Amino acid sequence: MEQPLPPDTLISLRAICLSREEQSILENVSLDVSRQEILTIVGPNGAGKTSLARVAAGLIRPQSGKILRAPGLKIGYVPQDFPTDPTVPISVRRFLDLPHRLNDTEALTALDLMSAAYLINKPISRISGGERQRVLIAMALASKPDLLILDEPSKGLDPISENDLYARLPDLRDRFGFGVLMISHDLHVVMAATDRVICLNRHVCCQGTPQDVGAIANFQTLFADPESAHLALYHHRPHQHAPHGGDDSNHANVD
Amino acid sequence: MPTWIDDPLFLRPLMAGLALAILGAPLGCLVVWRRIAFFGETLAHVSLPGIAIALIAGLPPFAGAATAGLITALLLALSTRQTGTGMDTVLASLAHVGLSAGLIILSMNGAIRFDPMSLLFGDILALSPSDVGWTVAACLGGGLVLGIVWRRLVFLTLHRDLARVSGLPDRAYDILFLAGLAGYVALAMKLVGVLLVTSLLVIPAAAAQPFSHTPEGAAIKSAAFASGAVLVGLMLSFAWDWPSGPAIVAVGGIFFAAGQLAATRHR
Repeated sequence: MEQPLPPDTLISLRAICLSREEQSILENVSLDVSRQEILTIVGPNGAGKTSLARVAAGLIRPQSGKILRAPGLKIGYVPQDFPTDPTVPISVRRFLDLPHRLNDTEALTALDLMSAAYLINKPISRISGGERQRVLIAMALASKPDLLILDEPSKGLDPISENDLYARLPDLRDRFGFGVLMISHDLHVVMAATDRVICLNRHVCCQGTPQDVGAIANFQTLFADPESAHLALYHHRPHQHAPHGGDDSNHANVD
Repeated sequence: MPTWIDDPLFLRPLMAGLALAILGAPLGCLVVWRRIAFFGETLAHVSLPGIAIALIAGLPPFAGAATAGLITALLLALSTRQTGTGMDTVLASLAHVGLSAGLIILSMNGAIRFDPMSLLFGDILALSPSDVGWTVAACLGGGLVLGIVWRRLVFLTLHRDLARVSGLPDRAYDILFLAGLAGYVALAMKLVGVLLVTSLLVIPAAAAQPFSHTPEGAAIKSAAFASGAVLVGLMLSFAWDWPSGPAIVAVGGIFFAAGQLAATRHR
């Protein structure tokens, strides 16, 4: 009954349901990430984006649903930041050694990919949030992942670094051949860097190319306020909730 | 030279104390980094009823303390917060209930006259040669295990999610660490007592932090502070007849204060 993982798929989440303390966080969410594909999840605050990234990374187990991973899949996970301010006295260089020991060239190369080579000898507790973000991405890249999971990778980055990161991502993907599952709250910034977009608000509202999803009327309102976001969602999900019947005119696949 | 300086009564606790100080340093750093000082405190306090029961049953007090600590550590490690009560509240309640239960059990047993003061603040003169031998051996064994898992524990402490994604079984390492902590607390009890045992972990580690740039550097400096506190504290205790546990802790406190002062001036 269960469909096997297609050969080019890195990870497949199928009908994931997640709730915490009676609160539903993810409802029947399914998605696939293929080799060398950059998939971006967008959605408002509280949409379950981070939870979805954590489910994909294997950090939380959903109540129901299946997660299929390609055999031997190596995941590089980039969290939003450190959960608390780091108390451990450790330099960036030694921090990079924690998952697997790197030699100096490997460490420097990884940092250089994020223009962060100048941080190499700084203590991790004394660098800024944006700099830490780059170190975390460098650490993930150094582990030579098949799938890179980026949770709001531009958090704490200034606009120039942010643009720079998204400009660099497709190149890095071409160079290392990984797939990317990326969380973002701003579709327009990641548009150029992404192959496919899933719009999430606890359930998958719509998906398609960034142009398609961006073109959907009222997309902006998803992020404006919860009230109108709700309306926009109804608008996106004509099959289930639409108060005004079948509106299948948008380009994106609605499911 | 004072006459006690080569007295076995001084040297014995010194050896045990130095072994505990050195093993306690890396453990204490992890406790400080993980912000679980209060957890250690609770482990120490709940071991008192364990000791009391062991004394009544005629078992070695260490076994009672270690068992009580281990059970508590496992329960706390495995308990998911289901009631919504904050962890600090749970720990504070448990610590004081444990302490009270221990004192009640001790008081009920009229047959053994046992001085609660020696349990609460340590009774270093009661260390037998075999106690010292066991303590040093246990510290060596504990240090060896800690050396093997050190990098992984540091990774988990620094970023649990990253460590888990990289394939570290975090629960297993948590349990290993907490069990080690419970064992250490039970071991160090004789030196500084139930009430002061966490200070042996936390104070030297805290004193070392401002001067440390690597995890290992912090552990080594913390070991130096702890050893200094044990040495000077015991000397004060013998020279002026101070209670030994409090003397060690007081010296450690002076190191801590001096370190903080030096660090603020440094910035």
